[in-house]
Amino acid sequence: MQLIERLRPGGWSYRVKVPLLMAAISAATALAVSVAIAVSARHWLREDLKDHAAAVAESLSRGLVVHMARDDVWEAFEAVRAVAVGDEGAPRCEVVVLDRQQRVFVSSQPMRLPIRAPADALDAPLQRAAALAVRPGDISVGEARTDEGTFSIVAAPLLSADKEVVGTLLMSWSHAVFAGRYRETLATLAAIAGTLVVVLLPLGWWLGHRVARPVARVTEALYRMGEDAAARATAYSGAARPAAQPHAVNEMDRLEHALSELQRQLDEKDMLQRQFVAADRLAAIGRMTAGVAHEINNPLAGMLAALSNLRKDPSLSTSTLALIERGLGQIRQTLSALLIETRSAHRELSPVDLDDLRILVAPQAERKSVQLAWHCAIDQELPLPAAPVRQVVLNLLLNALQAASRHVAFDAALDGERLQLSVVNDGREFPADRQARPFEPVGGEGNGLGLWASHQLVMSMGGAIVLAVENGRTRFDVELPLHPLPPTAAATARHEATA
Amino acid sequence: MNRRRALEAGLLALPAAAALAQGPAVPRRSLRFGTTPVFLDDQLGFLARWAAYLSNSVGVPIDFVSRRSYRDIMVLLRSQELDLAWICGFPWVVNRAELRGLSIPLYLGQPLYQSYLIVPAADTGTTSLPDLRGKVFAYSDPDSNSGWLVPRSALLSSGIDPDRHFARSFYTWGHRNVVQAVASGLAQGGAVDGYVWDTLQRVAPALVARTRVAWRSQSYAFPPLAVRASLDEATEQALRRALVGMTDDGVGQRLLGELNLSAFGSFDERAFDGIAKLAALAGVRGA
Repeated sequence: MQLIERLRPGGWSYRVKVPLLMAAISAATALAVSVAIAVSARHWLREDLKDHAAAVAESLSRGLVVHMARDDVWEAFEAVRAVAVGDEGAPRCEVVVLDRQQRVFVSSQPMRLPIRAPADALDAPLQRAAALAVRPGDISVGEARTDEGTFSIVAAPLLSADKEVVGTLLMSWSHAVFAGRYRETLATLAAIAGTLVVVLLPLGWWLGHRVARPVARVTEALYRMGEDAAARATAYSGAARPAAQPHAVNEMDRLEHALSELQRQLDEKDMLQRQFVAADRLAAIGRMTAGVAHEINNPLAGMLAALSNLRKDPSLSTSTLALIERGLGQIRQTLSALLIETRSAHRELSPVDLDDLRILVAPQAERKSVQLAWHCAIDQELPLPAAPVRQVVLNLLLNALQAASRHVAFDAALDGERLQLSVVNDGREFPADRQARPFEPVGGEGNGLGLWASHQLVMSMGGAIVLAVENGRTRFDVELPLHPLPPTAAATARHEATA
Repeated sequence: MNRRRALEAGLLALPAAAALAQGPAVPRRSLRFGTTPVFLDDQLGFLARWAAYLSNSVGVPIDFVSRRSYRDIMVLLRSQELDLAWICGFPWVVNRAELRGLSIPLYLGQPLYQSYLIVPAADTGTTSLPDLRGKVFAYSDPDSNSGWLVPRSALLSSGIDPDRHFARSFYTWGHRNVVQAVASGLAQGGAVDGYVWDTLQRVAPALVARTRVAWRSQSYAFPPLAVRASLDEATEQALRRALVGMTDDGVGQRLLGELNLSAFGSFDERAFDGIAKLAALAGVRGA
């Protein structure tokens, strides 16, 4: 099946198709010109023969009238033979002179057509010539196709000075006479056409190859550009011709230039996206800082109070030390969650990462008196990059906390080979005008860039993020495939998701 | 045909130009020699050499004059436009009052020749003229002994009317043409000068091979050379000496060899009695 597909010319590469086409056109042109010349040569040979035959008949008939009037068989025969027989005795044509009784007065081949033979003894071409003589006083020229071949035939009435018919001159010229000449012409033509084909075929192939090469190069580059970012970085820059000029007249040069420009813009966009995502990460951290600072400040205040009490009453040491220990433990927990957040180490997602996030956003929920319902059914490391997942979840949680009035719910669960995450809040609904395209970056409210960055990250992991608004609840569902797909498939998935 | 016209034009123009050059002081600036197809008179190169030889021998330029038929030559002889001619025994017999005999050529050592009845080589059955009943027959010339008188008188002597015997007959105005007419199949039979046919075997063997001699007549006096009766004796003698003397030198012998003749012999009136009888039999006036 695949073989058939490959053999179908429509599926061929331009690298082959264009040179083949050029070569075929060259050969076809040479052939067509040769055929045209051959056909017209044949035509003109025929026309020449007709004209010649008519001219000979006219001059011959003048003398024949005199010879017939004098009943001079020999002179008539000599005149006829002079026309009909070539230098080496080879017959040029057949000539018959009929008398008034339609009997042979003389013929160029007396062995076959003797004197006084009846007209119906004539062979086929001459019979046809006899049938031609319908217009009196005029030389009739025609063509006869018989079993022996094609003949130009002539009939001329022999008229005396006072227009009395004394006989009829019939001639037939076999086209075999010029067949030899025609064969020579054909041979010459074939030689010329063959030479042309030999010269034009490689030339056509080479030209076609030259034309198709840039197309193939651009196609290859475009194909690679779609594969993934890493390949894209070198997709066209390597293949681009340094001579590609923005104002070049050649379409291929301009296309190549536009392509390299597109490549450059895509690279820029990529870099910008990466910068945005990084900036968003820092922004998310900034948004937590107030809560985190509070989380550190509270135990610190407790611990300072405990220390002051201890100074006043050293007997309280046991309980005070326990309090200070708890406070330091809380600070350490908070700080370690924060440290992991800023660290960009590549590692797999673990349940601790999600717990960290809970710790990080908890102070904010507390401050806003929002109930944070946390359901995490993950108890093992998952083959997912930890950093982007954390960033996505943190973004969604912070947004939810900001928008929530009473409740925020977080769910994490495994669904076969996919990690399902959802963040729900009951606050004011997601703006209606943005619901259709919720992940487009917007200025102002602060969650604009966050959602866009989350979307980018989810896409880069081959996952999907969906917004659902229902009954006053805003819900984001994130679905991430566990086993990272191969880069090509990932790219395809990404394209489909963006489309 | 064109060649013949060109020859005529050339032969006519030459003496005219000579006349202008020599002026009116000499009335007879050259001798005009008429030829007929009793020999191969269409070989112009030979005629030029023979004319040069005879001019040298006689001391007067000789111009050859050719015409289509024997009759044309006879008309010119009678009107004194020709001084001598190589004619046939039959016209000699008819016109001898206006001529003087000059020489009878010797063929194979004899002043004799035959008339041949020839047929196409493919025709192996015909052995005589009566066999050609209802066929197309080629005569050489109405004034030819071998090409007309002999076959007609042969038929007449067999009680056959020659005008009804053949389906059609025609003249070819030359013995070589008779051979061509028979060879090509235009005629199924023809009467030809035996000497010409024999000589053609040397000159054009391919043509002759396409014909077959079906019958040979008895021998008759060879076509003679004659001068017009009004020609002066001295010139006549000079011409006779020149002709008869051709055997005496190498050039003359070579020319005789080309003519396929032994010699030019003396003239004997009685040699033509046989032809005269034929003419009488055929009912020709003047014979």
